[in-house]
Amino acid sequence: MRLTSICLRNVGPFGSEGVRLAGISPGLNVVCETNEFGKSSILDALQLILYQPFSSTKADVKSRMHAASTDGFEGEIYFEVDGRQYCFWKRFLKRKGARLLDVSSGDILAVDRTAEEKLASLLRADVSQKGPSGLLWVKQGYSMEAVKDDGQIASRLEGELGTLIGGDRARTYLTRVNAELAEYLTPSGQEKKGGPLRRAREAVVATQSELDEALRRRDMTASIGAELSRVTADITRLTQDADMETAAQQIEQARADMTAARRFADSLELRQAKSTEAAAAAQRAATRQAEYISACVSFDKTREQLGLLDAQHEQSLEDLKTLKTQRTELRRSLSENETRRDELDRVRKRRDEIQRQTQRLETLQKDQQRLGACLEHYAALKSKQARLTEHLSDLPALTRADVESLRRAADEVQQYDIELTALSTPLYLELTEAGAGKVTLGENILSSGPVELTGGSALKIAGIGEIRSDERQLRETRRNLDRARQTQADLLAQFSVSDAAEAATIADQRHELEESRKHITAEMARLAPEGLSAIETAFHSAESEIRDLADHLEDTQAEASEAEDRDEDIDIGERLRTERAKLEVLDDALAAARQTLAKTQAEQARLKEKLTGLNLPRDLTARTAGAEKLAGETLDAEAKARALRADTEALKASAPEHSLDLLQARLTRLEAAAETARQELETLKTNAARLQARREAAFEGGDAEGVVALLEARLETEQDELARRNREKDVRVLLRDTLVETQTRLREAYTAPVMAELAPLLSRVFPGARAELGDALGVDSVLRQGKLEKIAQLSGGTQEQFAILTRLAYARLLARSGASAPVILDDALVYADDARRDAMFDVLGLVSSGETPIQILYLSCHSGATRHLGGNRITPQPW
Amino acid sequence: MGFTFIHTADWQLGKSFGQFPADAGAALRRARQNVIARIAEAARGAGAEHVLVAGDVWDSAIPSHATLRQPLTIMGEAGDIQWWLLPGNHDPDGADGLWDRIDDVKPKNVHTLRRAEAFEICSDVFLLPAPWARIQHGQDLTDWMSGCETPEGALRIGIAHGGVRGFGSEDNGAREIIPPNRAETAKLDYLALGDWHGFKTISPRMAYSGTPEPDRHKSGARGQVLAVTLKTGHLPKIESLPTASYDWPLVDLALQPGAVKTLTQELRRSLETGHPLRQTHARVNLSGEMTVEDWAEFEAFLEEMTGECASFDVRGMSDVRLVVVAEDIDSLDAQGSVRETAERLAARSENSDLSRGDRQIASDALRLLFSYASQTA
Repeated sequence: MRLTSICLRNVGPFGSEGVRLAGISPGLNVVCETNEFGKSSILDALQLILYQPFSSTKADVKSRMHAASTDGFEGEIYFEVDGRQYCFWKRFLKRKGARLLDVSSGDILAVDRTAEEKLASLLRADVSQKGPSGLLWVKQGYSMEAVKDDGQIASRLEGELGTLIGGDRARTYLTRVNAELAEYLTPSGQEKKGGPLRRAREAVVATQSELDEALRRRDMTASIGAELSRVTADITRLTQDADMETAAQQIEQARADMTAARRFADSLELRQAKSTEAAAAAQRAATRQAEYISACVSFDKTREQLGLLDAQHEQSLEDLKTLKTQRTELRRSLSENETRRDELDRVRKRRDEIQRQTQRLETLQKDQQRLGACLEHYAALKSKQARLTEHLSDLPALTRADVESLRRAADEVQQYDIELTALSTPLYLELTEAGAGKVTLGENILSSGPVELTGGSALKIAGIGEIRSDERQLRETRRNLDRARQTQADLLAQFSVSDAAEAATIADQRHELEESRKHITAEMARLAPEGLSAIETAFHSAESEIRDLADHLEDTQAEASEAEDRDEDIDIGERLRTERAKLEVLDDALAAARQTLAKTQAEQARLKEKLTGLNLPRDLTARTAGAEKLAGETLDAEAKARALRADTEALKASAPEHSLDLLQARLTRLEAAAETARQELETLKTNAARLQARREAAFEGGDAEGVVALLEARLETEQDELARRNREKDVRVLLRDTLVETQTRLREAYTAPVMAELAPLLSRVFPGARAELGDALGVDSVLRQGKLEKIAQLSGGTQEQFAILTRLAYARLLARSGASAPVILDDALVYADDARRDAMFDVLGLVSSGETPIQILYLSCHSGATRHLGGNRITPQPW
Repeated sequence: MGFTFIHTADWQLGKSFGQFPADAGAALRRARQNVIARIAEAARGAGAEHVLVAGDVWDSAIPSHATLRQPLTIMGEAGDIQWWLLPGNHDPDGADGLWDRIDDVKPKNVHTLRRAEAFEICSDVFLLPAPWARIQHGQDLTDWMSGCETPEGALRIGIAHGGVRGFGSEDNGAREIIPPNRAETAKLDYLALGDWHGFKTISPRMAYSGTPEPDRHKSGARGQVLAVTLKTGHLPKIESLPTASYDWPLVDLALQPGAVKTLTQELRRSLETGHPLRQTHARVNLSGEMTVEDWAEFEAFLEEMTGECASFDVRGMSDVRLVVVAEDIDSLDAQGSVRETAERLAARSENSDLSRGDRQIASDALRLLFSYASQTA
């Protein structure tokens, strides 16, 4: 669609004379009028005429009416679609109607509602849904908002491009599936509390728990029945058991048997006791007899042993005496030899002392000689030191540093002298004849002519005086020279020398003498570190000790000469060792003899005590009579014991069949078995009563098996329900994910060509910037200089510029698809700075020219600004 | 003049029906008890004085007092009828003491068959029972009948519970132990069998009566008892007498695109041939395929039947393939992501690389999308 002219009447500020915008070109068109001219009213009216049914009486129609108008507002739009010229006329409210004409033929193509539908078809818009628009708007006051306002544009573009993202329908489905999923899941994908899925799961868990309990109850009920049957059977068995009846008889019989057995046992025990006693008495008699005979034998043997021991005792005493004598003799000899050995030890020690004192005397003598030499050397050094001191005192006190001072003073004098000589004053001498020969410089007589008067010289004019140069530097140098000479003279006088060379000689001499004296002093200190008196004291001390030691040695040597020689010393040692060994042998023999004697004495005492203990008469006849008496007693006792044992054996032969122990064990067993059976029966009856009661209680309730079956069936149903709910959830998740995935893919596919159109336009205004489109197909964010910014964060002017550029990109896209749509900019770019505005103007110029130009209607109240825009100027005219 | 008696079995009194809501379950439990009075009526109608219950009188060996006593009371109230009860695998005469409890409280006209020995129930008519003593006995309890002597010319009626070899049982063949020629080998005039919940004739002298009040979905099964007339030298005359108050139809429904409406109408007519729908517990096993349009039709049918039937259990819904044609997607009146979503889900539901479960979820997701579209439209 391309507009060619717009005519309006009775709308906004335009009354019956109306307004007409004619000559609208396919490219850029500019309408520049002052504020309140009615530009926005033109746009509003244009929109109403194109999209609002002529029959509409809505407020937005009425509000656009010219205030003083009595007729309805009307408009006539001329436009071109696919190379064909159309005129669409519409009037609202009074004498309302619509009409579509073919301009070239003048034919009316349709009227009223049909005309509107035909127009919508031409514009590819659905009038009843107010869109999509055939125009791309940027209205005054709305241009600040992003392109997302144009929902219709998005739909239009979707249709044109054939890459829809589903529009409202997809959004509706997505919203619905999400709402249904929200019943099942939380936003994080967890099962929602109270939701059908969670409820189904909780029901399964709860029923499972109930089922477990029901199973327990059923098993318990069944087991109670089984247990009751078992107990009842046991009771029957015990009650009918024949053993029970005979058990009492068996117990009675066992008790009678036990009484008889116990009586027999008592008789036997008595008989056995007597028999045992008789046997013991016979044994005791036999023992007494044997003991008596044994004592007699022992008596005789002991007496014989005692006689032998007495003889042995006498011999031991004799041996002991001999040994004691030998030991006394040996001890005496040993003592004498030890005395002799001690004396020899003393002589040896004296000899060693003489040797040590002789060595000491030699050492002292050597020390005395060394100290004497040292004293002589020390005296010589001291004399030499005195001479050097005296010589030094004769020389001026002049050091090498002093010599250096003198040299510096001489050098300074020489330096100033040279400087003074170097300073000269040129003179020109003109002498009269009278003056000839009267002027001299130094030794030279001067004649007329140039003369060089040096600093230290003077022209002498005979009879008159001298002429000296009196220049300032010369005066200064001379003063310095004088001062240096004075310093030099003072130093020479101070050191009593004539010049520096002499001073150096003297200083060297002094230095040499002082070095010699230092050397001597060091040597003296080495010889006598503690002073001369210490050496002298040591010398005299050594002398005195030598004298004393010589006297002592003389006495000791005389004493030592009297001592025996060493061989005798060796013999005595051997003798001592031999005698000590012998003494040890003797001591051992003596101890052994004493032990033998002690043993003999002890054995004698023991045997004597034994004899006393046997308590037997010493007379043999008496001992024999005693033995015979005891033999008779033994024979009597043994006869009695044999008789009693025979009685006992006879009694044993008549013993009962079972032993008392066996009968007792049987009775105990029978009584225990009877008690156990009684208790078991009691327990079983108690158990039976308890089980019966429990079973009755169980049967009073519901069917345990039925409850289990019911819960199992319910659990199965609930598990099916859980699976169904899970499936419902999975189905919705899949639908949601598929919708989202396809939307994402299509959006990306759809926005790609828009982005391609937008990029070159954007680069002209925002070099290097890149825009991202959001869900509403408007610019959502901008990437500039590596920084991503949301569109809402940008300034109002920048947002507007992005919005216009995006619209232009869409418009180009539409134009390339053969569905061109005009772009109307109403007071746009009023917030742009000059540079941005010029750049935007360049873009407007670009897109409104070329092979597929976009028709732009630019409405503005800024005449100054729009002068730079160019384009086709349109001046509104009355209609 | 023959001897007529009622052969019935598998009352399974006290069965819980936990898969149903509590009130429906309670109604079914009551129905199993109430059928006893109708059996008495049927017996009177058939001129039978004896009712033989061939096992599984109770559903459990440990019924509550109420579950145990109330049926006995009803039997006692029908004092003109002699009730012969045989322990079965659900209610064996075992350690639980069930049959002791029964003997303790049963009325005079109720008789328990607890021993494998001949009972003369009336002159020259002997019952040869094969009672169960525990849940798994692992032997042919009818074996003893072959060696059982009865007076010459007397009628011999065997009564047993369990599967017949080669004829199946209610327990996947685990109890198929009774030989199919037992009537001949034991010289029985008739062997009354229990365990199989439907009426089934094994031989001219051997039959399962089925349960008088069905408790599960079974194809073509309606609750009944058998009126059996025996006459020496003649084959038994067996007549089925309906006793149930509920129908439990089991229907396999193979859906076809475009034929759903016809099929559902036929199904409805078939269900209406029995008890009223409010007394019908129907189960439908689905297979086949449906278009999007069919699906909407079928869902409406489901809603209708669920409301009218005592229960309407539909299985295999997720096995039904959703047939999506281009027109269906066009009918979404959508472009862009909605259309592409539909196409993707359709492709996913046909993708053989995916598991069956994933394909079904994709199919359901597509149906959901169509459902949204139809509701939005």
